[in-house]
Amino acid sequence: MIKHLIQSFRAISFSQKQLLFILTINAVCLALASGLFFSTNVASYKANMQKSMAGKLRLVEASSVSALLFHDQEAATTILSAFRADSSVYHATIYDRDHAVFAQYQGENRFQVDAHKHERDGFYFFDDYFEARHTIVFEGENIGFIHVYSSLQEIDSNIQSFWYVVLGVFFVSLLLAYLLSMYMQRFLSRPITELVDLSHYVSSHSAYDRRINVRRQDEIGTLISAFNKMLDAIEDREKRLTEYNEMMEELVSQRTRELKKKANYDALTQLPNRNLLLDHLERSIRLAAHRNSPVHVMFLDLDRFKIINDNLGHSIGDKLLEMVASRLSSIVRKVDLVARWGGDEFVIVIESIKKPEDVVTIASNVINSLQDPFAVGENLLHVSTCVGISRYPEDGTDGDTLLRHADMSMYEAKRQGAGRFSFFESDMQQRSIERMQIEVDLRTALEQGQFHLVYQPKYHLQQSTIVGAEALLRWNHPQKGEISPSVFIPIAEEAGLIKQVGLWVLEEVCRQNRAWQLAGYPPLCVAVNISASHIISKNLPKAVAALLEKYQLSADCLEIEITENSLIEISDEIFEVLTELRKHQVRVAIDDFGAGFSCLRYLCEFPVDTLKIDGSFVEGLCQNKSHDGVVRSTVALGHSLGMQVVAECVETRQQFDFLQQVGCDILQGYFYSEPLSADQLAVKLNNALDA
Amino acid sequence: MGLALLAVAIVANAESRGISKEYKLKSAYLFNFSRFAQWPAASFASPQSAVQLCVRADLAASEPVDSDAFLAFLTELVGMRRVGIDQRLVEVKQLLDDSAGEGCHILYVLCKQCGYQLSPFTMVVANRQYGLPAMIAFYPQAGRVRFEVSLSALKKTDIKLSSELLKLARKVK
Repeated sequence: MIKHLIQSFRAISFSQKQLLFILTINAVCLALASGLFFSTNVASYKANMQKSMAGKLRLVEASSVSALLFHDQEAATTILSAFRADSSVYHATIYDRDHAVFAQYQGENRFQVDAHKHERDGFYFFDDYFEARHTIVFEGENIGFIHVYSSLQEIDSNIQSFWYVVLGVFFVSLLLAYLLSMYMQRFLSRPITELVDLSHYVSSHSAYDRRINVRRQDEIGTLISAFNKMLDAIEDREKRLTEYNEMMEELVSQRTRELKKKANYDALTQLPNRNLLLDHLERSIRLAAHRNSPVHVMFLDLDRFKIINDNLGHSIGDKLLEMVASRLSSIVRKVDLVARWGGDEFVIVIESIKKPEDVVTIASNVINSLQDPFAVGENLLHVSTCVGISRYPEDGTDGDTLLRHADMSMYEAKRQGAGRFSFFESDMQQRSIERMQIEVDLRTALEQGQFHLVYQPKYHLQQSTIVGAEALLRWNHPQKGEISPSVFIPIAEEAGLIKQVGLWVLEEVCRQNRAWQLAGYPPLCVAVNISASHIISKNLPKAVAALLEKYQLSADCLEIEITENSLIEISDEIFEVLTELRKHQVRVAIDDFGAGFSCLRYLCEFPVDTLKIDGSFVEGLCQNKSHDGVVRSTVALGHSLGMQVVAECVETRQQFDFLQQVGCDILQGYFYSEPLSADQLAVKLNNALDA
Repeated sequence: MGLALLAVAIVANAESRGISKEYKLKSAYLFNFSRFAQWPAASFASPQSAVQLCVRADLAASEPVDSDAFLAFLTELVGMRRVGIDQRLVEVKQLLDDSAGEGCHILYVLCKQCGYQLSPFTMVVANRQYGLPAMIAFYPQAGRVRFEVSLSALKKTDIKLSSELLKLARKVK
């Protein structure tokens, strides 16, 4: 119940509470005042009544003395009848000294009279009447007494009218309180209502722009000021938050742009990456399909990039890639896209070609642009490239296919030599598959002993005796039969198997050489071709030394041949390796000399024993004047540097004669002997011994 | 209370003397008259002099009451009580001859045919049936003793009667 009341009280409005308070206080005050007033009023009324009654009694006393003394009851009755004037007196009796009724008065209002109860004078109040007793004294003698019953109705009616006044005052004060509270409400609760309205506005609109005017300096004024200040603070904070948010959004969008760039562009070269390339290519294909126009995809990588990267370090390699990227970007048209596919591989997407010849022009430009050496730090780097080209829609109708076919075409171009380009042809796919098969088979070939060596003897030109041999690797594939080294060596190189193959060859050569020596043949210098990547792996000299040790061979039984091209990017590493080999007295020959672009200065410095003239020059002898000159000069150069000069691929008498004439030291080729098995060579050596 | 007891004692004593209620009342009235009347100062020898209440009785004649018993009752009733403004004692006297009566303030004539002397301040009281020229005369009414005042007789004296007394009295010329 009380809980319910409290609940209701909480629910009513502030002004109603205020009104309730005022009314409560009002009522309490009024009740207190009425109580006090009432009690004093009643008391004084009683006192008055008493006083007036006392007077009357004294009068009766005075006038009834003689009646009593002379036993004149009539006279006494007459005296008592004076009470008729006072309607409140119910009953009056005069008793004589013997307490016998002497005279009586009965008022108009009947009243049940009991015998008088009181032996002493005084006034005795009851609920609605009072009794008065008064002794009649004459000259010091008690000669009787008067007893009166009187009504208190007058007091009651007096009280009633008093209550009317109180009620009247209460209602008037109620009205006054209500009016006052209205005024107070205007004064007190209006600002609070304003505050509440503003709070609602703030919370529903999340807006902080409004304020309340402060017109007063009391607590409510302070509250409003505080509220305004709070709004100031919130508004300020909101403003800062908005600024911060804008800043954050800007940062995020910047980040997004960066990420997009990162996602779509190659960090090193700033060229579009694989993602963007594929997107662009798909878009180009859709557009081309719509326009019924071709799209060309060029795939290219850098020859010898791996060597450069491994040799000179990644930072040089990266720098080179950057420069290549910038050169490629500079030569293509604006509409074409140059992308980095990964590693040293780049892709160019060419659209809107009017004539097929234009593609050839672009491919040539690409190849030519990379032919000029790149100056990276102190190094002048020569790279070359091959370009594979696929066409939409002939070679494929989707990006993946076009790229795959362009890649294949590039390998085809590489097969033809450096600086070539090749359009995709349908059989390339077959070749590519074969190539992959070869790569797979190569891995098992070593373990299963499918390799063997043949030896092409080297003859001293003057003495016509065998002075050495070049070991040549042969692969007898179980299903495909003999596979040419020109086919599987590049594959082994790409597959990273070349080092293992090289080591196998070295060991086999040493083992065979030892076997020959044990068989009683004179020591023979056998040359082994070592790939450039094998050389820069640095542990070659140790491996060679270990093999010589293992097979108890003297160092001059082995010659390491490296191609001139391997030396083009001459580095300290290669120089060190060759020097190390020389320390072990292992001979070093430069193979295919004249086919590359080696710098003569390096030739002077390099620790090399032998120059092998590139076979192509020898083949062209006596037919091509320039070839003759090259061969002549090379022999002269070799000799002037204190080197032996070897000519290979010698097949005719004419060639032999020319070489003899220019003073070449050693010959090799079909003119003397085709490559022989170890046993056949042993027979030849035997014959020579016998001779 | 003491007075009430006294009254009871007096009544008991009086009854033993054998006087009637009527005369008991009359003796009380006689005493009361001394209380409601005022005599000139000259009538008293001194301020302390008592009010002379005289009863003219004739011992030989037949009377409605035994005069000795009545006198005794009256004397006892009056006792040492003081009356009036001057608070005088009341002295009860028996007059037995015709020459007596002078100096009495109240003279109750008990005998029907006896003579008496008067002072100018003497209040003569008698039973009405005697037909005497009394100032105050007792008469019976409905078994009660009432009295009448002769205003002419009153005028001839120097006595002032209280209005209270006159109020109760039947007034005659």
